[in-house]
Amino acid sequence: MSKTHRHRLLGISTLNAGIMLVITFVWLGLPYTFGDEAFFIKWTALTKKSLLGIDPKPDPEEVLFVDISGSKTIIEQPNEFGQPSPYFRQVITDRTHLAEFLSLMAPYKEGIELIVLDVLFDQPTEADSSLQVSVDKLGDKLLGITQAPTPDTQPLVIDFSQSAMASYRTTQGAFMKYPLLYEDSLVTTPVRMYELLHQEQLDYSGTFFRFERGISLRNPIVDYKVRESDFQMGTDLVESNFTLWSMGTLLESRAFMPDEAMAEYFKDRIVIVGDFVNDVHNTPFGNTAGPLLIYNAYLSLADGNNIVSVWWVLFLFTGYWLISWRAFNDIEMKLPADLAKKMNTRFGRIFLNTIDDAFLLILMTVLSYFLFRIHITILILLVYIKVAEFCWDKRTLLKKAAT
Amino acid sequence: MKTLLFNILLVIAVQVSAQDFFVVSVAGEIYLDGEMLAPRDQLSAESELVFVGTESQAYVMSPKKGYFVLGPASEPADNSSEFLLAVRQAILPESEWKMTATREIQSHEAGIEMEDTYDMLGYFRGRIALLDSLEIYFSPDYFSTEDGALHLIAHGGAGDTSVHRADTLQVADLVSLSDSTTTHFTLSYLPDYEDDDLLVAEPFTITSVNREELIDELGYLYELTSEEDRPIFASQIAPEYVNSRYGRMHANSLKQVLQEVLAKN
Repeated sequence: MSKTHRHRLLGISTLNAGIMLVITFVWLGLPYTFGDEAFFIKWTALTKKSLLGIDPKPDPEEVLFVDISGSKTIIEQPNEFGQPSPYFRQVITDRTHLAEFLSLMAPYKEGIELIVLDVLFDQPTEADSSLQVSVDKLGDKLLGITQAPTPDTQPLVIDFSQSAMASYRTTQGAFMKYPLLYEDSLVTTPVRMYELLHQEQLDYSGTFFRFERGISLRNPIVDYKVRESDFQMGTDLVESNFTLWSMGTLLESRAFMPDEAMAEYFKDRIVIVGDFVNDVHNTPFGNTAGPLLIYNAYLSLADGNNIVSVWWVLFLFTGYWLISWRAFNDIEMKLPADLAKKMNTRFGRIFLNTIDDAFLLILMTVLSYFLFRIHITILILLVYIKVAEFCWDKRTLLKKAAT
Repeated sequence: MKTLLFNILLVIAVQVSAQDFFVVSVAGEIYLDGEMLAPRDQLSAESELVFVGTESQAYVMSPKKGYFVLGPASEPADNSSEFLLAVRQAILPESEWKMTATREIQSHEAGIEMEDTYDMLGYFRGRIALLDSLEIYFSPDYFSTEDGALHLIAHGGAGDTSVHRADTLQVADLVSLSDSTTTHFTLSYLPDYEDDDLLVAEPFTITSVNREELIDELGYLYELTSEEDRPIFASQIAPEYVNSRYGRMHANSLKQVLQEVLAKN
């Protein structure tokens, strides 16, 4: 290899690594990801968390999950003539019970970290005034949910002193990322939780989203620290368990628990109230309740999984540079002689070459997740590197033919 | 020896000291300080539980720590590898039959869950099995007795036996009007401004069912059910049996009966 050719290869590999880095950030910046990526995300996460046991979890005593799926009621809807009709009904959360529960928490609110009420109040009911009184009692300790502003959006019937969006974008119905902002303007619930609990604001005024800790990914892939499988009954009284409390159970507890025991429910906890049965979403770890997604998205932010570190960028650049060097320098994978003979066909070579690039990219996403807790999307990179490699080969062939 | 006594001292509870544990439910016989343990009992640090038999279990909760199961036979929480489970599901995905119809009476493998809300037209039709009593409340918004009258008519062999006008009707009282355990009814509403009754429900029959006899009957059915079908006993086998033999029974009543049947067996 001549010195000029070597320099040219160095230059093109560096340029290509830079392009791949840009593609990575653009792709990670999209509010959604593609279903095929879920495969890698699921298995790298499972390998790390379950197989290797690298699965740090928050203290179960830091959070109180309250399920309202058993507290429903029916309201009548207007018929086609705009009149209330018993034949048009809608099932909603029983706001009388909810108001009672919020009032139950009011005396303990100073000890509560934050209450997230993952319920949308867009239908008026007779119990709204009493619910509003209970909401007002909790003041800034309560974070409500707003919905995406569209022409069809109904105004909320309950006013919260603070609220945030609880929406994400999806392709093929799979949840993967929780955006920091909705339509680049409205803060989402996990971010608002982070801001309130850590007294740190998201700055989205410039090109990059920033927290005080550094530049943030716009749409980080959620790391599932608490999963449905973590909700298990304990046998050892010393340990605490992630527990799903029915709102009805908490309300009935007043009848037989002393006040000190009731206070234990809420003390120093984030209280997340939502429907854990009907509000379910398809994730790489199976169906997961919406309130649990919000909590995991918040934990991802709290653990800094969204922060772009210099070392992570350096790692990506180095990996991309090596892949580019291998591709443009026509370095092929060495196979055992008998296997190489069998694969020595046109399609066999293309297959082997693709596997080679795919393997290296898979290795990168695994290492990225293991070392920096950030998944990267690799399928688009695989397509890109194959196209770049094809163009490079064509150019080389044309140049040879010309000489 | 009739029973094997296990003295399980809550040594661990002593160590966790100030934590409050409350009993949610009890299976078998468990004694706390000489008295039978009951739901809502509070366990203190010095509590001494006596389990009678290896199958006895107490399901307790702590506001701070969550739910626990205590007993001589209680096993540690299932820590089977999530990874291996995922591999198994990837290779051998679970398949199940799904209904393309709504209003399935039940449910899933965990517990008994049934619909307990019926609209009047949907419920009062065909054969209805009545256990204990059934109170029908008519919303005055739609069936105001000021503007009209509700007619619940029991049809017997000698003609109509009763016409009622009320906001609340005790169907159990009406059933007793007939000599037979099965009574035919029609339910209608006549507003003052109409000439004809509005038929609120299709003609229906109510069959009185003795609670204890039904529990014994379902208990026998449970014994006849094979081991592999027992998981669907409460969800399918028993409801279908009751429905075909007596008629549709209100979900809450059936749920209570099945809970007693399953507890006995």
